[in-house]
Amino acid sequence: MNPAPPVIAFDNLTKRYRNFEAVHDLTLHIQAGSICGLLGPNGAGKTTAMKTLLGFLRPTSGSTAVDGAPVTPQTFEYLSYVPETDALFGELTVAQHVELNRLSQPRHDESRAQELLGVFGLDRRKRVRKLSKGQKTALALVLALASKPRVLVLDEPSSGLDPVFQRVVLDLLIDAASEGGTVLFSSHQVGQVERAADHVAIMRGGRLLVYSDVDSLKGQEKIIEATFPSSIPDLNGALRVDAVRRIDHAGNMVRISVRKDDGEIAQRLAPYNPTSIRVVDRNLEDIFLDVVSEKN
Amino acid sequence: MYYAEILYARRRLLIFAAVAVLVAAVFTYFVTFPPPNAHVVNNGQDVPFDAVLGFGGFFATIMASMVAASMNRSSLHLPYVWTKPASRERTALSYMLVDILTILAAFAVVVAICSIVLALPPRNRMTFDHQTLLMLSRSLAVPLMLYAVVEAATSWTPRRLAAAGGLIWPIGFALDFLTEINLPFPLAQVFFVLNIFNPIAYIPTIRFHSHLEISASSPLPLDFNGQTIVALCIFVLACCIATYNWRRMQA
Repeated sequence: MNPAPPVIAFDNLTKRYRNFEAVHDLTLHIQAGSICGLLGPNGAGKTTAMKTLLGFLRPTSGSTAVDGAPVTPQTFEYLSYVPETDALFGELTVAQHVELNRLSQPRHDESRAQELLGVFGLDRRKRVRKLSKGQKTALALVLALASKPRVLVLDEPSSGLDPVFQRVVLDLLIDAASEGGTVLFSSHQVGQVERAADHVAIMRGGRLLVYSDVDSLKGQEKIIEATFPSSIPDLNGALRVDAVRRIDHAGNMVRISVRKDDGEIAQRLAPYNPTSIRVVDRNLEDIFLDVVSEKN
Repeated sequence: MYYAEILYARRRLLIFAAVAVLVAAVFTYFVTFPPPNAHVVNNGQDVPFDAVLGFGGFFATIMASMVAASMNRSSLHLPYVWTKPASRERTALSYMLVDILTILAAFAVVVAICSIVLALPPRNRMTFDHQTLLMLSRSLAVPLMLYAVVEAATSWTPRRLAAAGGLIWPIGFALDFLTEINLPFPLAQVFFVLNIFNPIAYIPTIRFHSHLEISASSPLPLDFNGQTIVALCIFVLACCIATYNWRRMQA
């Protein structure tokens, strides 16, 4: 049986600005009901990829699609976008923005909008230019979610929000996906992606380096933490094994990244009398830092 | 998205109307209670409606420069404006429709206030002649042309060019002046062609001696009516160019 067609698709997308290649040969397919976190350092090409998907930029080559077709105005009946920059009208009040959304979005749900305004504690009479950065982000999210979108594209959706509201935003994304929605969001905060996303894409220099589901990515490698009573003995001989990717020292503890854990490393460490040996999953931050710091 | 433009234009129109009412009130006060040494004749006068229309057209042109560059102004909001289920052409046309209605409203406000203030003294008479309709069409054509030319000149870029609405006045007057003086080839020809698209060059000159004189000051060797038609054609063309540019823009 053929797999379901992706809701969001980037196929060999390249976007070049004169001599600068912002995105290079990006192929990424996101299935319905998935939350994909897009990670990457500044200038990785995350925003450019999103803008090309939404039709703000024309691709140099390759293509993008939502529900198997290029984005048209009708797509925005069920696709909402929260941009990285403040795109709201500074002179308009919060209530006027909600009214604007009601007039321009056929799927606008007024009760949902009012509920979300309450969740974020936004004053309906306040002009947008008087809102803080976090409040502007919150309003953009309220407007995006009030349209009950089936596809959500969010560029740094929790930028400027305090930790409590960051958690609220992530919960809203998880809720949207649990109702069948598809979410693509970018973030600098690996912890947010780890908490909300089921898939992660890591970009650097316009190239997609990793695209995987979060659990299997984290399961691909383990970290063995061995603590020694005083100083760390010379382990070079014991750890000269193909499975070992990296060795870090921290005080009297050694952290060994291994591709698979079949007990061999622990057996090799045993003669050095460590006080403890424990095997833990790598977290996404470790993986992200490894990926973006690798040469080429 | 027209709602955002309505709110923007409404604010400008209210300020414009408030200033117009204030000026009219000050004028009426000084005419009604003139200073002791001033000689004010305000009874039994013929007030040509053509002049009122010209006055309205001039102030509607100021209003046009206040609301112009609306598509460029929206460039800060494109991630919001362009993610609504409406085509970019439709959004652009809705912006322009709101702005054009605002310009027409400003024209109507000035004409209404002038008519009331000037015709209020019981013995003054508003007069109409064969030029009234021509003057009406020219008075509307110039502000619409200015609006559309600024839109076309600014809609192609996401960079902020909102000051263009104000800058077109000195640029327009300078261009008109450069066309009048004898410049060497090819400068004279270049300025002549540019001046065809200069809305300031189409503002009619009104002189009031024993009778009203309306002189056409267009760069083209056409009669008053022909110049008005050219101005309206440029208005339509510039609106199409503005819409096309805005639709093609990358943000």
